[in-house]
Amino acid sequence: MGHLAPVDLLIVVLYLAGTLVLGVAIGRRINTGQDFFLAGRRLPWWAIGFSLVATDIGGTDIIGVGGAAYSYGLAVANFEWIGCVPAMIAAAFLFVPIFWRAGVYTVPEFLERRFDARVRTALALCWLTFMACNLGIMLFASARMMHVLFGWAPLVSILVMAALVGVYTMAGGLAAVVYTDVIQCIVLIGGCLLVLVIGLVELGGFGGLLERLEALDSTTSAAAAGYATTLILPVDTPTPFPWTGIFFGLGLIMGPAYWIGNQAIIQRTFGARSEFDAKASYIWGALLKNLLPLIIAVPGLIALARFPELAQGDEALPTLVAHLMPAGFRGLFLAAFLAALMSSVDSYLNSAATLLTHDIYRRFVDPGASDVRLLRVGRIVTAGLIVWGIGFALYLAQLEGSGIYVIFQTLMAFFQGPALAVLLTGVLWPRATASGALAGFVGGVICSISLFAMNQPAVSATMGWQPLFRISEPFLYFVVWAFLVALALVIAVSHFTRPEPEDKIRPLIYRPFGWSHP
Amino acid sequence: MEPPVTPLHVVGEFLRELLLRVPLGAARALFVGTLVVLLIWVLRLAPEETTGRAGGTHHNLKPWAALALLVQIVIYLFV
Repeated sequence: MGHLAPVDLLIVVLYLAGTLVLGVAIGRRINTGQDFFLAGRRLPWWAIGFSLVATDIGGTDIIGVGGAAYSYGLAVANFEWIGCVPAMIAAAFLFVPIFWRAGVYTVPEFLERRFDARVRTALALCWLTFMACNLGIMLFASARMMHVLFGWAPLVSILVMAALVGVYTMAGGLAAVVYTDVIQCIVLIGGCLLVLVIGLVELGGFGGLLERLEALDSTTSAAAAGYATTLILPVDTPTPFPWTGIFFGLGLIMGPAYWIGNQAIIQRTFGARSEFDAKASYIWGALLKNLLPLIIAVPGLIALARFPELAQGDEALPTLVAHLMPAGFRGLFLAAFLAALMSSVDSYLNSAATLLTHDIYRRFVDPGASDVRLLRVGRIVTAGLIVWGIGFALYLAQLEGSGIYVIFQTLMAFFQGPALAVLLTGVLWPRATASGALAGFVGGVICSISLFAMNQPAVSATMGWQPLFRISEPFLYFVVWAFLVALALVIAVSHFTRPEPEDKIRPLIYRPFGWSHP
Repeated sequence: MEPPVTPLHVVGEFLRELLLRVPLGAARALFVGTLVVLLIWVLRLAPEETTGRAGGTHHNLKPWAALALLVQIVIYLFV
């Protein structure tokens, strides 16, 4: 994206200073563990809704989604539409109210109440490992992008980002995360909207964009070969987005698993000021999600129409911004990029600290810890996680080129299908037992790891067989099989084990038409 | 010579052949149909599950949830 004018830098500095001041100011009102981890259960629906969207869109997504749209067409928008909206609506009415009424701090804590400590610990360890590693991955991936876009040294980017996010998250906990996310979401949407509007004006509106895309040589890119503006692609598409993977893997499994079971996402509804606010936040988030592909995917198509000869999709958005955005507007886009990055890192940082403090420290080390002590522990854990995130990001920087962070993210995604099976049966099926849930979760994770291993080229070559899956990134298929295996095991083992006591599970089960309010 | 296959390959290939025969129009109908089913479920939810007070005013979430799903239905019908 190249050179930034002084006015661009001024905008970025103002944005960063504003975020920091707000976060630290909120920190002055934090007195207890509940204030720190659940914002004192005082969050309004609109703030949580903005925060949900900001957390979901990371810094690398801003560039990556536009890049995928450039390479593969609009099908990447499925991740924001069918992968989010239906899951958010279902979660709002099925799961969010039950979690909120349970008054829990974490999803694993809910699972101990519904099942037992084994299920809680298994889920907590998986999520904790995922979140802790994801902190380093997000810092590293964003620093690499900052290096490509602006020439900034990765070490400086990692340290500055970690310090900024760390200070306000450690001071203000979930409240600081959510309210800074509100600013970050508005900056993110504003910055990307500018790129969209200026890009469309340049091409003569949506009509002009479609004309340019239709006129492209079909050999230019996969998107140009008839896929540019289509959401539903055939099973044998050369893109990673066949309709089968999108519908079964993303729409039915990954989306619900993410919006129901991801602590970094759903924790903010635990801090809602009422059950209604908790539900409304997800509906508000779903409405916002309907707009997002327009501002983060369509710019990739504008770049395709305007610069069809780029070597890589990830160059699409930076190239567009460099050519179309005047001084001052580039600063806004950079602020939007930083907002997307920070809003995700702060959420994962706060949620990892919540898991570590409540599911490990309070559960196993000091069950009688006071609320004030938990606040102190939460802040220490947050600081420790920042140091860990920096260290892991620097470690990944040393391995650059090996693609390890992509593999790691894929591996960590494997437990989402089994986790969804446990949550679904836990809330919707009273007969599900603790042993069934544990067997399902462990079996499902083993299934995903086995499928992943069997699909590796080295394994196929050694064994002399074909890869199991034909598409390049088959994680949308792994997750379906892992979910089905986990679900089958939960049902089978539950049938052979003693049912959970009715009194224990009654408030934790969804019963339609008001049955859940005896 | 064809490389040897496992039972998993056989099952996978069978499913792949089966799904390849599904026309894209039917796949689109599956996406839209799922959203319609969810919309009907939302519209049939009991009032106590969708209403509440926020900021001192009584609100109903049902129309907003329905709006979010209707936008999705339109998108998956035409894009």
